[in-house]
Order: sequence, then structure tokens, then C-alpha cells
Amino acid sequence: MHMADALISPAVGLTMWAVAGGSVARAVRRLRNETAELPVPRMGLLGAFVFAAQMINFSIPGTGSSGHLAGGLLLTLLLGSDAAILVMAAVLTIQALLFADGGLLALGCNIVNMAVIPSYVAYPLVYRPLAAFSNSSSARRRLATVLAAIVGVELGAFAVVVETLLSGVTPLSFATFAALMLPIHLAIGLVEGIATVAVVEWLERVRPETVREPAQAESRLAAVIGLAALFIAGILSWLASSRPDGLEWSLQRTAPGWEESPPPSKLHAALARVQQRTSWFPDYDFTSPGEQEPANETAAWPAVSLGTSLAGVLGSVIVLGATVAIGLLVRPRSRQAPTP
Amino acid sequence: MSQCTSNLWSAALHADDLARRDTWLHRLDPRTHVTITVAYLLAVLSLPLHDLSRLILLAAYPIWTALAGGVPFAYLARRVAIAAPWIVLVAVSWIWLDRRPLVPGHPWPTAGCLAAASLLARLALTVAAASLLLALTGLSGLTSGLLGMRVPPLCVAQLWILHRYALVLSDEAARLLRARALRSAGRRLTWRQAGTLLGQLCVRAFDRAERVHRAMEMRGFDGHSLRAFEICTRRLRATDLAYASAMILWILWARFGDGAAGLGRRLMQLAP
Repeated sequence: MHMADALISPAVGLTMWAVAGGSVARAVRRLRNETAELPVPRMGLLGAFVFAAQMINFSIPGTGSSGHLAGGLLLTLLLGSDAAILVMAAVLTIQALLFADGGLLALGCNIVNMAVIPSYVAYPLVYRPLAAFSNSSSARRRLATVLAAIVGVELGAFAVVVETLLSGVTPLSFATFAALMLPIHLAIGLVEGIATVAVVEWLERVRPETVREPAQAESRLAAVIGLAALFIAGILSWLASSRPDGLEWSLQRTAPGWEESPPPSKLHAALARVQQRTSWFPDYDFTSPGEQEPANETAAWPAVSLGTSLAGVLGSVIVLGATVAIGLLVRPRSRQAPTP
Repeated sequence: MSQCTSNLWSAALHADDLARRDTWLHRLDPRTHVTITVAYLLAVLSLPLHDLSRLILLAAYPIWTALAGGVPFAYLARRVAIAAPWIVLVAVSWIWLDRRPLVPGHPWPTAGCLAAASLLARLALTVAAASLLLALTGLSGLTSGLLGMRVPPLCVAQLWILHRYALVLSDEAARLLRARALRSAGRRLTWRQAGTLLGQLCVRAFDRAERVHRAMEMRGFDGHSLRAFEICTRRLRATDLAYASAMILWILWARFGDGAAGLGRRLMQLAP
């Protein structure tokens, strides 16, 4: 899921850097204000643990394949959201610098996809409401962990799709790209969840003090607002997709001959072309592309509407994140001096 | 498995070793290199996807820097190869999906080929630029540069501890895996056993963190000021400013100027 520099445009990269930077700044300030003594070495060592944990490959039941822990959710459960974001950001930075795994301009994207989404979206919106008031190692806690892992990984994968498409570097249509990415990451999220459950339960048996109790929905308001935004965005984009060709229709009305005029740029032309081609994606294994006429567009609509709804959801998450980040940046400084 | 990881790590540490060289580029301030690299990445990535000619011009920067900094091209090539697979997939999808001819009347090469070539060039240039940044500054230089750029010391401390202890904990993981392999008669690792191993590793990380923390407290670390990590950053010198502005001007010229294309046109006019 690590994005490379070559696949993003500066606009997307810098926007995501702003979101990631805002989230990290928020995490740092909250840690400074709220924690009596920062567990700095513990955070660093758990980051190193996430590195080392990727060596331990285990077989996935029912399939022939194997997987490993990615660690975003586990760190959140062990350290809390704020510290987990800092640790994951450091892990991703080291991976980008030392292992060429993920780019520098894409680091903001990677921090958002793999640190901010699990810690600030999946954990408070999925894990906390589900796991609140539950006993450790109860079925409800397990379910909450697995679901939070799946939601975190799927939203992260979705963000990859949206960031790549917004950068305009892939010829794949949104629906095709999402259909490629999401099922794979469903399986990855499931594995992540199961591995997290296994580690947390083992730690609770051996070192109960290391696992943090789920807070009793302290930021319920934030969760409610977030869910409402997701819901509204989903509904709105679904409604929007029921009139898919509104823009095209209005352009034709306002500018006769619009269809014949050359598209504004080569890239735009390429994307339009590709969109036409991928609209008959289900058959493209059977016929050679040259012979096939583009199918009429209405046939592709039922398949696209779900993707559009999800895009609205993700867009709202991104806009929400960007707004929060900008708000935090322009907010007046707290009385506490930032660094002596 | 541990062999593979240690190879990976030794390659990664090799990148840090390159930063110990003493060329005039290495003597520049890390912030200079960070600024130039960011400007360069923005210039490369802001090009339209089908603009291959300017990418070729922009390749001059990594080549010049690798030469002046004594960074072996094999190292850069290795790093590009590591980052390549996913982007090669996207490049192939361009060739597959965009088959409009570039030149009317000739079916080959197609626009998709141009996009794919340009994507691979972007991959090579961006990974090379990022790798050169590390090879010129090293992680310690980079982190002190980050402190100078007002990144919170808490974040820099994370980078430091992670860099120091990732190898140590990877060794612990390798020991755990070896111990299990000797007792398991070749059976595969189930997810429950993996939970136990990972938990073990996590407990070892906690214990080591405890020891590190005590050692840090003995040396004046108080949990908040992070004074131990605040390395004094020097002031930027005139050479730093001069080099940074020269490079950024060059990058701007290569990105926006018409110089190279004009040169090409003039050469074509000269040809009979």
C-alpha cells in the first residue's frame, strides 16, 4: 500500500502532506498537554517492533497464502491514537528513506493512509463504540478489533485509489481500480485484524498492564459528527450518480458541437478514451480491444454507483481531515510554550 | 528469512555509510539538500504525463549530484528496482489501454507507450533524487536538519530510536523464528502461534524500552523537553545559499524554460 512519488501529482502530494502534518502536529500537542510523562522509548521500541514483526509470516487459515502484521491498529491499542500516529509516521519515514518503500512527496499520502486513517478514523469510529464496556477477550472486543482493522485497511486502500486517480497517472477507471484494490485489501485487513487480536490477547494474559483499556467513548461527539458526514456524503454521491450525465447534458445544451471540439488536453483525451474502453471491462478478456465498439454508457451505471458513493465517503473524510488540519494550524497557540 | 532481512538491512545501512564520505556536497547543510530535493520532486511530478522530453532534461540533476557526491549508480539502480514493481504494473496498463497512435498513419508507437515510458522515467528520477538525499546527508544529518526546520523533537526522537533499534529487534525476531523452526518439524506457522511469537517480541520490546528509558533518565532525559535529542543546528552559510539558489534556478529553467527545446529546434534547422 506504500505509494511511490512517481504515481502522485504535486497537488495531491502537498495536500496530503498538509493533512498528515496537521494530524502529526495535533498528536504532538495533545501528547504534550495530556500526558504527564511521555513514553518516548516505549514508542520508539514499539516502532522497531512493527519493523521486526513484518518478518514473522504466518499462514492464513483456509488459503494457501501467508500474511504479516502491518501494525497501525495494534500500536493504537497499545499506545493510544496520538502516540500511534507519531510512531507510524516514523516507521513510514524510515521505510521511505532507508528502504525506498514509498516516496518522499508521497510520504504525506502514506501517513494519512496507514497512520491517520487507522488511528483517527477506524479506532474512534469503529473500535471504541463497539468495544466500550466490553470485557477483554470477549467476542465483542474481538469483533471490534477485526472490524476496525478491516475498515482501516479498506479506507486506506480506497484513499490510495482516490489519490492515484486525482493525480491523473493511471489509465484505469475509478470502478476498475477500486474493484482491483478493495477485495485484496479486504483479505489483508482481515489478516491484520486476526493478528492484532492474537497479539493483544496474548499480551493481556502475560502483561495485562501494557494494553490500554478502551476509553468510554470520550469523543462521542466527534464520532457522531464523523459518521454523519460519512452518511451524508454517501447519500449525496449516490443521488448525484443517479443523474450521471448531467454535466455532459448541460454542456451539450450550452455549447452545441461540444462533442466534436477537441478535448482540452492530451491527458483529458486519454482519460476519456480509457473511460470509454473500460466501460465494457467485464468482457475484455474475451474480445480483442480493437474490434469492440464502446458499449452504451447506461449499461455500466449500476456497477459504478456503489463506487461513487464510496468516493463521496472518502472525499468527505479527506475534506474533513484537511479542514481539521487547517483549523488546527490557524488556531491560536496554547499558553504552554511549544519547546523550551 | 533472517538472511533475507539482514541483507535488506545491510543494504539500508550501506545507504547511511555513503553519507560518511567527505565531498563538498556532503559538507553542505542538510537543509540545503532537503530544499533542493523537494523543489526537484515538485518539478518532475508537476510535468504532464506525456512530457518525456523535459524529464530527460531533468535527469541531469541526479546524474550530476551522483557524480559530484561520489554516489555509485549501482546503488541508485538497486533502489529504483526495489520501488519498481507496482509502477511497472501501471505502466503496462497504459500500454494495454491507450492504443491511440502517436503519429497519424503509424500504429506504433502508441500514446500508451509514451505514457508508460514517462512513468518509468518519473520513477527513476524521483527514487534517485530521494536516495541521493539520504546518501548526501545520512539519517543523522537529515534528522538534525529536520530539527532545524522546526519538526517537533518528539518526532525526530522517534526516528532516532527506530533507526537504532529496528535492527536489534529484527535480530530478536530472527532468534524467535529460529527457535521455533528447530522445534516444529517443518510445520507452517499458524496465526495463533504467530500471535504468541509477536507477543513475545512485543514484550521484549517493552522490556528493552524500560532499560533504554532508565538509561536516558540517567543522562538527563526528563520525558518532556527531549533535550537529549536537540542537536545544535548551525546557521546556513553563504555556500549553502548559493548552491541552493543555483540548483533551484536550474530546476526552474529545466521545468519551465524553453531552452532545451529551442536548442533541439536549432539543431534540426542546421541539419540539411
